Amino acid sequence: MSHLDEGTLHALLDGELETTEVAEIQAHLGSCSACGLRLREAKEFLGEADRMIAEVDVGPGLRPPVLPSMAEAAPPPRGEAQVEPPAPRPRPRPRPPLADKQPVVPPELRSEQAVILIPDNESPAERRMRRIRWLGWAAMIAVIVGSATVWAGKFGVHIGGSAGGSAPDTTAPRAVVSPQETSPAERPALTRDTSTLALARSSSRRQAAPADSTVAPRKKPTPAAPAAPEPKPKLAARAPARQDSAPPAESTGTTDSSGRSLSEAPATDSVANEDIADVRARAAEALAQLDREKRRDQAAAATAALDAEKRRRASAVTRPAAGALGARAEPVPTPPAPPTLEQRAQVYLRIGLDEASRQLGGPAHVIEGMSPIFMGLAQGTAVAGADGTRPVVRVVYQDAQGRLILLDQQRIRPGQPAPKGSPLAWTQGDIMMWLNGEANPEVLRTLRPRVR
Amino acid sequence: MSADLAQLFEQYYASLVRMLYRRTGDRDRAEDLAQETFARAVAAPPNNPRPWLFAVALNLVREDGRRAVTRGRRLELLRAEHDEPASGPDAELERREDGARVRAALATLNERDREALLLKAEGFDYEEIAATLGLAKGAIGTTLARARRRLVEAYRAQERGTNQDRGKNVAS
Repeated sequence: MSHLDEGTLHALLDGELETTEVAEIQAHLGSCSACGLRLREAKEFLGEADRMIAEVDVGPGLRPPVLPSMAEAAPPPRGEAQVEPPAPRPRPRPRPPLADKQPVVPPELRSEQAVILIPDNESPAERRMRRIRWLGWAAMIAVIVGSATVWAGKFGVHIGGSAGGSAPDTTAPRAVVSPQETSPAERPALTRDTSTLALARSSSRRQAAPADSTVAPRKKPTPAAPAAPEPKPKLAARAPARQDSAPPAESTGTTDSSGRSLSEAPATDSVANEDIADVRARAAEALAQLDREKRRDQAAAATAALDAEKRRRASAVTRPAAGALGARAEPVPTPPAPPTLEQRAQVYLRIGLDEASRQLGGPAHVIEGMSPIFMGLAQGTAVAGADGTRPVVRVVYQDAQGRLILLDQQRIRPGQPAPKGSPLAWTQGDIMMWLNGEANPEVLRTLRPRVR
Repeated sequence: MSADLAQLFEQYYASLVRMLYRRTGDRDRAEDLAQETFARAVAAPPNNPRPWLFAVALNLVREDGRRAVTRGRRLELLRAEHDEPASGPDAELERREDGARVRAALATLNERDREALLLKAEGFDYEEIAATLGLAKGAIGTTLARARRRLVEAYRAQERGTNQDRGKNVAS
C-alpha cells in the first residue's frame, strides 16, 4: 500500500471511512512510521483548528426566536444541532393578528423575551408586477402627451396657448360682437370658427408670398366692420365667427397681420396642407438620395482599402449581383472551418474541476508548470488501455508550437486490469494516467516527471 | 409556515447563526441572513433541509447578503435584549482578540476551504458538506485537511507577528 495522503488521514480522524478501509489503513500505519508521523500531525492540526473555530462564537444570548403561532405544534428541538443547551422559555403567546398592521411587539410579549417573525414585505413576484404596472402607467402618459403634441403641431393648436384654449378676452370681443353672437346657442359656432382662423393664421405664416395670389377668395371682401383693432389677435380671431353668424352682406372685412383678408383662410389652409405634404415628400426623397450617395462613397472607400486579391474576390462576388449581363455567378468555394480545440482533443464535453474530482474521486492530476487550456471528457474507447465503458478525464495543454498535449486520467475500478507499464501510461494511486497528444513522444516523456 | 418549518427553525437557527457569524464576523448580519434563509425556506420548503439551509445561507453571504436582506423579503424580528453574563474586562478582551485572530486566519483561506471547515464545525458529515458545497464526497477529506493546515499556520503566523510586536514595544 502506498503512503496515506493527508485527506485520507483526516477522513480517518473524522470517522468517515468504511470499516474495511480503516482496517487497511491501520495495518499500514503499523508498519509505516512516516504515515504514523503524518497521522499525529493531522491530529494536531484537526484539534487545533477545531479549538480555534470554537473560539469564534456568537456569544451568549443567542436563542432561536419563538414563533408563537406554531410553537405549540412544533415538537421540542432535537439536541443534535443545538450546541447551547435550550434555555427554559416562557410559553409563547398567540401571535397578534396581521390586520392590525402593528410591527411593534406588545409589551407583554417583550417582557417575556419572545420573538415574532412577521412577513411584512411583498414577494418578488408582487414587486415585479408593481413595477410593470408603473411602467404601464408611464407608457400610457407618454403616449397621451405625445399624441397631444403631434395633434397640436398638426392642427396648429398651441396647448395652453392663445389660439383656442386660452381664457377668453373679456374686453375685445365685446367691442365687435353683436348681441346675436352672445347668445348661448351660437357659442359653439364661435369656437369652431376660431380654430379655423387659427389654422389659417398658422398656414399663412408658413406660406410663401405668391401663394396668396393663387388663392381665390371664397367671399368678396366686405367693408370693414367697426372697431377691429389690428394688434389684438384675439379680436381678429372673433371676426370670422361674426361673419358666419351674421348675414353674408355684413362681412367684417377684418385682415390679419399680413394684410390678407381673413375670409381667405379656409382655402389657404387646404392649399397649405397640400404644399406641406409635397415638401415632406421632396425632403424624404432628398434624404434618401443623400443616404444613397453616402453609402456609395463608403463602399468606394472600402474597396480602395482592399488589396488586389481581395478586390478581385469581391468583384467576383458582386459582379453577378449587378446582373448587367444576366449571367449566373459561380459559387465561391468557402474554405472548411478549422477544427476547434475540442475537436482536435476529441473532447465531447468540457468539465470543471468539481466534475473532474467527482469522476476521479479526488483532485485531477496536472502537469506542473503548465497551464491547461481546458478540461473535458473523452471517450474511454479513444485511449488504449482505458475502460471503454467509462469516459476519460482529459486535461488539455498546448505547447509553444501550438501542439496539443493530453493528460488522460481514469479511476481504476476493482478488478480492472492496470495498463501495461510504459513511459507514457502508468498508474498513480488508483488512477490510470496516459500522456499523449500531438507533441512527439520524446517531448511527452520529458513531461511525465512533472505530472502531479 | 408549517409545523415542520417551525421545527427546523427551532432546530437549526442557532447553528445557522453561529456559522454565519463565524463567516461574517457580524452578529446582526448573521441573524439577518439566517432569517432571510428561513424566509426562503417558507417560500419553498426544502426536502433535505440542513444542507439546503446552509447552502442558501452561504450563497446569501457570497452574493452580498446585506443587499439581499434589505431589498428582499423581510422578516421583522422583534426580540428582547438578553442579559450578557458578567465577565471580567480582561477575559472579555482576550476572548475578543482571540476571536479576531481566528477570523483573520479564516479570512486567509479560500472560499471553499473556509466553508467546508465551518460546516464541519457545525457537525456536518462529509456527505452533507459535499451536498451543501456541490463537491464530490471524495474531495472533502483533502479539502478539510488543507483548510485545517492553512488555518493553523495562518493563526500561528499571526501569533508570531503579535509577539514580535510586543517584543519591539518592550525593547523600545
